[in-house]
Amino acid sequence: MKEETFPFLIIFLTAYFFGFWVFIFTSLLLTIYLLWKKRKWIYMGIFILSLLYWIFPILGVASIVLLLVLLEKDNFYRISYFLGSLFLIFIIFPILNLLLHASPDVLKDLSLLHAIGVSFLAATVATLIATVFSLPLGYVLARKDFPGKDIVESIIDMPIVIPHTVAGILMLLVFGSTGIWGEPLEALGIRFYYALPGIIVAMLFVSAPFMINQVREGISKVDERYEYTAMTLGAGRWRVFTDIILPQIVGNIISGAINTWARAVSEFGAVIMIAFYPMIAPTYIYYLYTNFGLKTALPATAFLLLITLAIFFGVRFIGRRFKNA
Amino acid sequence: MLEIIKLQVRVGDFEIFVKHVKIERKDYMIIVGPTGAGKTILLESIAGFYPPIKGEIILEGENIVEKPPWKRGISMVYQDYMLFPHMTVEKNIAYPLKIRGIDSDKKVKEIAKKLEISHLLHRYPGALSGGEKQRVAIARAVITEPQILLLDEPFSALDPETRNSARIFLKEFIEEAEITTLHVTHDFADAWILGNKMGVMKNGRIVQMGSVDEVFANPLDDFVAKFLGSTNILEGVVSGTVGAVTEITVNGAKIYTSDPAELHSKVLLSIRPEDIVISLTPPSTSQRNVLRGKIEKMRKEGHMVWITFSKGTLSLRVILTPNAVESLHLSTGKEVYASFKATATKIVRKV
Repeated sequence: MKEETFPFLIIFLTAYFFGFWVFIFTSLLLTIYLLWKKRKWIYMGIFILSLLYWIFPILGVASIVLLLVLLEKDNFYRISYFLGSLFLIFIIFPILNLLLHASPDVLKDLSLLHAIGVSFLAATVATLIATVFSLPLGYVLARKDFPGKDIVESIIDMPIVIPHTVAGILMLLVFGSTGIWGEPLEALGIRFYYALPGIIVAMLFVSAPFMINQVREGISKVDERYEYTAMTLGAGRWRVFTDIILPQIVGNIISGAINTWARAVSEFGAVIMIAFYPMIAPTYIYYLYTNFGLKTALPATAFLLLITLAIFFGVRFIGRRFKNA
Repeated sequence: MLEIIKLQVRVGDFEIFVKHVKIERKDYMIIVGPTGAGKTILLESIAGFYPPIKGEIILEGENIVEKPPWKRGISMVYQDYMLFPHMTVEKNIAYPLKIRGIDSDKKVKEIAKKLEISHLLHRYPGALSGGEKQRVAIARAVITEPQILLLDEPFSALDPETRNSARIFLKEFIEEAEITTLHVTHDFADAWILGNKMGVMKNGRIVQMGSVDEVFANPLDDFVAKFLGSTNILEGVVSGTVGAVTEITVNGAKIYTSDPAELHSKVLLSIRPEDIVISLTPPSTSQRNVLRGKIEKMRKEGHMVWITFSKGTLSLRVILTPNAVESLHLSTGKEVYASFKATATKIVRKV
């Protein structure tokens, strides 16, 4: 049976931080629901105790404690629920709090929309590049043993620990206008410094490890004897890869792509080092905040948060449907 | 025809060396060997997954050592069948045809019918039993009519009850389809029932080769000798059926088995020594087979006592604990009853 105690506690505790009226209203709803469900008058106490908030906010906590005590008998769970929900509130509350500042007016801010567009485009391209290159690399790592394999695997994880600004400077040094790769490429017309390709390489550098690791893990879970069997049935190497390996690692590619995209779209430090312009969404927020102050930055920030979360949940939902199918 | 000449293959620290193996068309060759003998590596080398250090593999007159696995015309079925989990049974079976761009519908239906898996075509491998998976794997492996079919312990993933019927089914299918087969196993029953030629493999080498009867009659290797020494193999003629039980006359004695067999056919029976009970009076239990005879020989080996029981020209090896020997006061020449169940008596091969 699913127990409601933990979600109720999270909701109640979140409401507490939104002030008297939200708290009282939530406690009223919870009390009515519990009275109807459990048919015991003692649950009235939750609403009555919540009114103490009016005298002094901290006293409102008494009703949260009562809810916990009434719904859960085991002390270990009582404490785990309480501390667990406090930690969740640490994530939920700031997010909800910022969303209060959302306003449709920001849709008139074309610079913001453009910055979001650049962000999504660059993150998507970085994810596609990461996917394409992760397949051969992941295959080699999953199937072959070689001297120094540990070192190669550590190299792949290195971008995760390198501070973002440092990562940005690494990219700037090689892809910048005078960089060892940047200079000849710029001569060919592909400019990285203060340009979209620069944003993409910075994002790719910090986010690719997520994709590589997922693909490698997926392939190593596909028994090599599937490949052997397919070969005896007449499939050459490439066919084996597309017919036998790829369909079995779709789930890994999807979750790798979600993580890679999420990591890329949230990158800021590495990107501004090589390309402050064209602005990506985080750069634009930073620009608003440093030039016009917090108040001006808030609506745009709330909007960016909202749209990022919407995409995050949307993709997660689709990914899960796909995995189940 | 497949011929292997002085083939040497190394995988990690393990090496196999096969001096000479020849499999004629329509042969069913069984290679028996203990776990770790290199049987799977032998098959994988023939299929082409490991480049040999030296040697030749000649298939229909052509040395195929340099050919990649997908061009050899050799199919292999692994012990856990390796059905592609993301394809339906139908797509699995049709896969080799799809690669070759051949229209598969009719052929898939045909082979599915022969292997009695038509009703499974739309399922995914995850929803199949072990025996069903095996048939699908065989269908997929033979649909392109390979020159040779390699089977790696095809029955080890099945439970003992389905194993026997699966053996008979496979035997009939392969005989009818006339498929040249090389089958490796550690289970001697596979050799008894399926093989017409037999090899014995140990430590990466083939130590004996010949017809199944030759190898069993004259085992060079103690792995085979031990197996033969540890079970009773009797030859008899089916002399009747009583209900669900078959009566077989062996050296004048009547022995009953729950395995079916045709009247008047000659069969080989196996009875495991530990399944035979020795008693001084006729047993009161439901044992179908009760023979009166005497103890011919007794020999202590480790913590057990081996007894040779004989009734006329029929003799059976029985294994007992020293306690049992003592409490029954057994000694050479003593008159006793040997009894065992009809279900413990197996027909291993029709002669």
